[in-house]
Amino acid sequence: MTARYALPTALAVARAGDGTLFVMPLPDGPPRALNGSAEVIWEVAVSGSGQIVKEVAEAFEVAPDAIAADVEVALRSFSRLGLIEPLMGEDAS
Amino acid sequence: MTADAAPLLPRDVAVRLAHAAVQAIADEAGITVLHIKGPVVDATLRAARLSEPVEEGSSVPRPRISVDADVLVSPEQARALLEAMKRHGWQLAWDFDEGSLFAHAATLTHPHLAHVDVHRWFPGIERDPRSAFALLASEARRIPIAEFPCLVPSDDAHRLILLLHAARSLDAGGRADVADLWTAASPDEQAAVRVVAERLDATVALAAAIDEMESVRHRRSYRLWSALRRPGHTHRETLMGHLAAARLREIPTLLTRFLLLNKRRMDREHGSRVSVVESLAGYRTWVAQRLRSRR
Repeated sequence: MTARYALPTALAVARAGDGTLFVMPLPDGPPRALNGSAEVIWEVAVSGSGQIVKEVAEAFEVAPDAIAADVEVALRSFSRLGLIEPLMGEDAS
Repeated sequence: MTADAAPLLPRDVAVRLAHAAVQAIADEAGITVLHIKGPVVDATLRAARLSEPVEEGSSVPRPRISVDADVLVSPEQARALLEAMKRHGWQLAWDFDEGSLFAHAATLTHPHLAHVDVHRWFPGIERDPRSAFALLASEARRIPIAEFPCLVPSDDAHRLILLLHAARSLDAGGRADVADLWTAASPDEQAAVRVVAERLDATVALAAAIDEMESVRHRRSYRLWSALRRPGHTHRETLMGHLAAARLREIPTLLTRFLLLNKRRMDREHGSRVSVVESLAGYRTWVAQRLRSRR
């Protein structure tokens, strides 16, 4: 069980014609492109999943232990940038 | 694995994010804005067509191409919106009286996002701008743009606004909009647009868009919209139309605006600021040409 997150209410999300996902904390930004595994981790995180590492591992068909540390780093980074929001009562450290 | 800052955004993304940013700024400042044109059209008036399965042999409908984001604000809140946007990193590129004789829109730029045209009224709507905006806002609703809830006019009002814009850009995509938004509309949709046009006193510009000018020949703004709808109309024709449409007390302001716009145009053509003497010489030439052309 990992910490749970939600989509911040003040976040704009837009997908480009080539499929690239862009997110921007409102109102000031800056806009950011979520590339590669960052997009997958972000999508799983804002779905409210309580098993983010497990679901990301399944998406990439790898063992959870092999990616757990990287996923936690990404989640901390997204949280700091305002791209995800810890759900109330959840430990997002 | 990256969440890269993206200084150069695809154009359509830059436009959608600009709409969302303006809405967030307006919400924070307690200002009502209405989002019009561009991605709003695809999300509302064209949504059904864009989501329809494409039949074999027919062309795929494409999203509207926009280079900027357009918003409408009540005139008494327009300056407050510009100031709020400037506090959030936007720069004023063109103020309201610097763009056109209508003096209707200011343009703001942003380091990452598409530029935004803030309209304090919409050309073609002859009802006073404050009550016209109140009427539009009273029937507005929020829809997601870049997944952020943005306030948009009713579909009937939005269809009218797009037709009013088409009336002065028939040779620049306006004709396609008229075909799409009027000719292809159902009789009920057309009737609803006519009702909104009556309420907003926008019947002359609507007539210009849908080629019914004879029905408004008696109106003061007939000459202006006859000129604007004509492809390749000149600055002089536009000015004469504005003068014919203006009330007496509006004429000095209009002439001053025309002279300032003309000076800015000359500044741009020269690539530097034109001196007062050069500017006056330019006007003398213009007046002389005008007089000659009337002989």
